Amino acid sequence: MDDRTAIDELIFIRKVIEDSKRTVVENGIGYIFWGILVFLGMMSVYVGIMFQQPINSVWVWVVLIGFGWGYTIIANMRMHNKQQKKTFAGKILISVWIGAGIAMTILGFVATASGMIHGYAVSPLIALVLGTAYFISGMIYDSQWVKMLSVGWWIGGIAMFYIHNIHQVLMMAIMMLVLQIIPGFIFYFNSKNEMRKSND
Amino acid sequence: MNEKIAMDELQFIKKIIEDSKASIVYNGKDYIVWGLLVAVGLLLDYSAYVFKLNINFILFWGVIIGLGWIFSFFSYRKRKTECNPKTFAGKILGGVWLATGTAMTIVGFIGIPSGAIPGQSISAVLSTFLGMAFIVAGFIHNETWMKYLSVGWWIGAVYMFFFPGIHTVFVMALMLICFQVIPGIYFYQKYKKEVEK
Repeated sequence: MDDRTAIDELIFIRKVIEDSKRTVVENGIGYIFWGILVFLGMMSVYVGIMFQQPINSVWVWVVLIGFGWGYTIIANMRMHNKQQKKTFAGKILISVWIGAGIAMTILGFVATASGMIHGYAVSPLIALVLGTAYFISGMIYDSQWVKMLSVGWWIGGIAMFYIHNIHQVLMMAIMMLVLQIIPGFIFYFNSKNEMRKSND
Repeated sequence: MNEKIAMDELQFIKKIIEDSKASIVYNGKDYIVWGLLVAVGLLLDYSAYVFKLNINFILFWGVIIGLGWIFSFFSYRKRKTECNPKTFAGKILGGVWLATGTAMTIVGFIGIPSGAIPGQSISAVLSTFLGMAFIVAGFIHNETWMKYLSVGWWIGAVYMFFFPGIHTVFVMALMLICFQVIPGIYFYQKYKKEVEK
């Protein structure tokens, strides 16, 4: 291997590593989108019960979560067409959120429909699933603050196991705002900065 | 940059890639130990129910799960000293099981005593969490069949939610053997072959 070939090889490897890094830079849109959807669902259920409005909470969730899955599937298909090569870290990240999404759908719809899980056990269980997903995501991003979000979800989940009334819904909505929507915006602004830097 | 530096850089990169490959060669012991521990615990749980033995279930499962965590802790420490530096795939795999284990421990030891989760739905809830962990582990190990194991866990969870009863203890024990212990043995055999090489 001569000097020139070795340098070309190194440039290529460096480019691959930089590309991999870029694909793991999260734009946060998924976090914001799902966070807002669930926040709206939680608030509509809370307001409906507090002000005795005739809102069918099952249909609220079917529509919101159905819309969320529909949007996510279409967005992923579009991304798949644009971006041919996915990195190892990117693939794991997708598997984390697909796994978490399926687990939350089973716990939210199947478990409650079976009558085996009471409505007030759903939010704490979903908080535990989200804690797991955030912990793994934090490891993939190599970000300490994302890992710490998982602690917030788990502590919130533990607290909600002991709150068996409507205020649990409000607590989950606040957690969704603080531990998902706001971090989503942080991801979004960080990715904008990252893109600006790579364009300079 | 001369040829010497370029070659050194390439050797360094090659070493990193080889380290990453080695991390995917996983010995599967955690799958086997945890799978067997919980399966044995479930069968003892069932025996206690059938023979109406007056045992403290929280203490009983505290011992079983405590043993599992102690094993994982020492196994992690051993791997840390044997395999240094730790690779990306190895770190993520450790994180997947640490996070899933934490969540399942909270479900079992806080969710049930709080009264939020009925004891008879515990197997179904834990299967749902295990499905999530196995889909991620499947991507890390790059084994398609392992990703499908998650579907098995989720189908099992749905079945146990709709058909509750004491028989779900057997269903869960069987799932642990088929979807966790046997894959663990497969990884162990693969690891031994790799070590021999």
